[in-house]
Amino acid sequence: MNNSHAHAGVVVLQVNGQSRRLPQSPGQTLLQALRNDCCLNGPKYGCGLGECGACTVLVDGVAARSCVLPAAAAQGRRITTLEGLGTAQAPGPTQQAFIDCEAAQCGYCLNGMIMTVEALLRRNPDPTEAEIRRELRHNLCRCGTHVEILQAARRAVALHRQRRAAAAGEAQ
Amino acid sequence: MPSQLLPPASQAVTGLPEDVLHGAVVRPPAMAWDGHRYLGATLRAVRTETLAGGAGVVATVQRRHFVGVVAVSAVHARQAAEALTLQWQPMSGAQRTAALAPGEASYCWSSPERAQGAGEVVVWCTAADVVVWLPQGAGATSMVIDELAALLHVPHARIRVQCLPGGVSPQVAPDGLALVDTVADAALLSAAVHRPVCMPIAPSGRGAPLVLAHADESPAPVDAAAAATALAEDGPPPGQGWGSGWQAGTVWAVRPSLARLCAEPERAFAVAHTAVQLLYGGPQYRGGGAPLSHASADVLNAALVFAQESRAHAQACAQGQDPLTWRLALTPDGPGRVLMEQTARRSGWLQPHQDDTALSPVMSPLADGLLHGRGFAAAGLQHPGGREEWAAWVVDVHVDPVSGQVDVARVVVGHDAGQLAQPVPAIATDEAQHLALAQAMVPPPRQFDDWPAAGPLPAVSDAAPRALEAMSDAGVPAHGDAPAAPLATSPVLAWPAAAAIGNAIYDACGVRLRTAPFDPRELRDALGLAERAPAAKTSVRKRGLAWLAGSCAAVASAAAVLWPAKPPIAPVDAVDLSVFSAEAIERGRLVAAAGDCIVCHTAPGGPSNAGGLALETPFGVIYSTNITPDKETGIGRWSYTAFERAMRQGVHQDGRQLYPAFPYTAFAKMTDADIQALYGYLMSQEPVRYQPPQTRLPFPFNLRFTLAGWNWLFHDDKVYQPVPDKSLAWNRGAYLVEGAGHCAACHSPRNALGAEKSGFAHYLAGGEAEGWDAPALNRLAEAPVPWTAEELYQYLRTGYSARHGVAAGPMAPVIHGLAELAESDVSAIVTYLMDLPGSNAAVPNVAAPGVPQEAVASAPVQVQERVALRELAWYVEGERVFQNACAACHAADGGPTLFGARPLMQTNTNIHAGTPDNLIQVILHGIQNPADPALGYMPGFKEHLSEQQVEHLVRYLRAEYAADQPPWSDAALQSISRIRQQPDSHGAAPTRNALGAAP
Repeated sequence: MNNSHAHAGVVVLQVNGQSRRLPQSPGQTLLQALRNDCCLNGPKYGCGLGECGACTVLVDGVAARSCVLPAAAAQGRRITTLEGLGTAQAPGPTQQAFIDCEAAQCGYCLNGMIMTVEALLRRNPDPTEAEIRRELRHNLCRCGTHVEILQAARRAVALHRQRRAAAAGEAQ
Repeated sequence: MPSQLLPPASQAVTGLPEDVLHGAVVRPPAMAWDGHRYLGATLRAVRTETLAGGAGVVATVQRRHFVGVVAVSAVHARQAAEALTLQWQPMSGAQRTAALAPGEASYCWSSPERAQGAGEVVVWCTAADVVVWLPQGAGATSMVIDELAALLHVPHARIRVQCLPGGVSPQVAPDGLALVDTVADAALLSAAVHRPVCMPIAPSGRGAPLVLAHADESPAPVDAAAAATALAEDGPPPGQGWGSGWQAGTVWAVRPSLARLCAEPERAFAVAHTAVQLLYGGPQYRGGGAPLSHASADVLNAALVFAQESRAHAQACAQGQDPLTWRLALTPDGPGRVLMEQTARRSGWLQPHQDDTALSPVMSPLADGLLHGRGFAAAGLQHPGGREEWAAWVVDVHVDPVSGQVDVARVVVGHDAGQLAQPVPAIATDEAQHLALAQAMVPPPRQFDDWPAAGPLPAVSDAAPRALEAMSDAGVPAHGDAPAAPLATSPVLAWPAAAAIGNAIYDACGVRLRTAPFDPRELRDALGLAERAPAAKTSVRKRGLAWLAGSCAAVASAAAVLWPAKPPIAPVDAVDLSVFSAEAIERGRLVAAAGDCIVCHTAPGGPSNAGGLALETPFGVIYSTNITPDKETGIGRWSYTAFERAMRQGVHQDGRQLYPAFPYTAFAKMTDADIQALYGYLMSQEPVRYQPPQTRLPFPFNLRFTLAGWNWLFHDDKVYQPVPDKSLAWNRGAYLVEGAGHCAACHSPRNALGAEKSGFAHYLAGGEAEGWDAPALNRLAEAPVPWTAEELYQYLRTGYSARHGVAAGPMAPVIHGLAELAESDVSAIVTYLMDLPGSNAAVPNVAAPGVPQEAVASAPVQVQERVALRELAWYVEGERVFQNACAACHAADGGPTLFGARPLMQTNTNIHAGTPDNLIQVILHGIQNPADPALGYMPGFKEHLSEQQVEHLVRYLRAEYAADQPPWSDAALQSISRIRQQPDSHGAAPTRNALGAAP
């Protein structure tokens, strides 16, 4: 069943709104396909076991640890990487919040932090502090930037709210 | 009325948005409805902490007794819905008595089973409007709009229905009420979050029959007065007048959506109702049986006509009168009476020149050994505006007194659509359509080896020519007045069919069948015809000699003397596939899916069914063979005889005995028709030229001829015999489980010679497969985490039960196979398995001996134990491993929302199991090939955790999450090193990451 729609040797992914036909090798993870074949280096390889969260992407809007997900399993689903949230010139609200709060030291975990906050806010635009902490608890940061990251998450809530209010104002 | 749910309009939706959420609802445990109000179980309390939401939950929605969850994915929604702790107030006793049981004088109407129209709906309640996306060809659009308008209190103009983009139109349109129910659920959920919500179309009711009791033969409706009062106070809802024929206190109405019943229990008015003319003395029937009718107005009308016209016939016969004369005497003048007379005359029931008062049916002679009978029935409908539409049927049947088989020999149908000013009844002439309608009422008996998705059986076609011939013999005019309304659009025409056939059967053999459509088995039972008693499952010979199983060598030598080698069966050059119809090949595909051929006959990454999978057995490695129709390396030169011998006797085409790793012991139970279909299917597949590795077992197991002795001892090659006192579903389930499904191959214990242990205590009592523990299936309801039928159905259908975990290891491909089967087949398997009596004797390690369950379960002891546990090194270390490696996905307190299911350890069946093997399997090898990709994947930790770490983790999980179970013994935990060395055959291990290490 899970292999039936993956044609031999080719996997088709919908990445950041674009359709990508990629060569498929057995056991290839989604992270490998995104970094190696799509040249999207936002998601990072950390532990390779789904423990640290550095590789997080959105699959159908849900946070997914792409290092433990076979590329073939993402066939037919919408994948959003860090690159899909905005550009350096026009960052998305969650990205802007992390820039504003300078919530990085080495920055390796940041992809996972941003993508996890983004997934939370898409689902729940007004999370409590406890909900933010529960969501980020299993994203590991080795530099000790946790305080800034939590600040950035709270700022992301505010920026998303502003963005929505602006959009509603335009529509009126 | 302004909407209570929607904000004022401001902007309009244009297209289906990308970020669709997913919904799941929780239904009350018992639902009932009296035509006005909801009467089922009511929501008493919700444990609020469970409403707070688990992983992925966007909102938990409650409106009165309606409870649902909106989440980011269907898996998350289902998991959260199943985790809700709700307390229900059961129906009161008075309400419960309102439901009727089928009685002596009642009539039953069971809607024919529908194939499930798969698909999903999306509803988006925005500020401006309500947009509904339905699958293509879903139909029932006006019903959907009416229901949403009533449910959301919005004007019809604010509801728009669109087609789901990119969808393929389903083969079977979903049942109208099931569609309305699903849309209404999604709408209530969407209205709560103002975002689009997607829901899979719920299966329609599982065929609960409508029961009709005559009013003077059953207690009066308990709440007739209350219902009448309610009706008087509220009046019918706007735009839904109660037509003629509606009686307060009856339930002859089409219910609103389940969402509306639960969310607005006091305003759950009927959305449609029966409009059939009540003949021969007015309203006499009330319905019940199904606590919540799942029937459209047409079905209700047909059921009412069936009861009314069957009873009229019975009353006439009881009074010694001709049934038609009896009817005519009680029917006032009018188009109905004219049509009855005219149809009867055309059919020859009334002789043309006879008076209406001296009539007798013309009986056919009894020449061919068949019982002949003739029946009459009529139905009338009052359309809005006063127009009357009538239909009358005369049916001749032949009943075979030996088999109970009913053959519709001839039908004469009169139809007056009432559209002409002068009532001129028209004798309808579309014989083929009428015969099809009639024959649908006497379907061929369902057999335990029918495959529901395999299309109609060809048996129907050969009856039609005879019947048509008989009709022209009777001199019915081939061309009458064309009916005013197209026949296909007039349901009235079909209504009398069931009663006319039932009356004809009674006329033929004096047996009154009270359940329509008719089951020939019921007639056969009533005629006193018994089916041949099934043979005993295991013969005395085999039981008596089972003691021989002790010594392998003894069996080998005895076998050599007693059983000469089997002869080869001559190969064939080409297989003639033209004898296999498309239906047969499709049936074969389903047999292959149920039998999971592809699982064992496909090497990892290799072509399907080309063989080469290495099967580890206690006797050595057995390689599966190529079963594609390749002439050199596959079975392309096998005749059907050779194929059947292999399936039933375990003998290769060349005469070699096959090892019982190939479960011919189960396949022998399959019927000829299924094995033939399977042959047709396999032979019609693409040949693959591939020579799998040769199986070379060590002495003495390499002596294949000894298997003849094994077969003599352990193999029973009898075809499955249905158990007569069990239901068809039970027998179907038993046939699938014991035959093609070969469940016992893994789930029954085996003896020292690799045979499934005989005796009832061992049957499906739990076994072993490829290093996995195959849990007992004969005590599911008493398992440490007990199963319900619904949970088992969900598990088999989706590979996942929120309370038990996911299907993994060798069970995951089984779910793939089951996905091909019809819903009714999966529920038949559930019916059979849940009915297997529990047998704890076969499973000694369910509970530690000498420890009373109460002592283990009591809270203070647990707290004390917890404190003590924290001082144990393995517990602390195991918890540390869990927090690092597992908690992101399996945290008990609800961790982050991640793609896929997040099985909770508290109720996971593997942690409560008798052995830790499956838990260790999953930890070491992960889940690389889940039953459904949406359930997510798990990495294997074989290369990342030491043996000691795994042991600590396993001990910790057992102590922490299965405190009511005894700890696993040291001996049981020895399996860690064994399983670690075992290759993972159910999913290629992911290659080590080539991206480089973390900084």
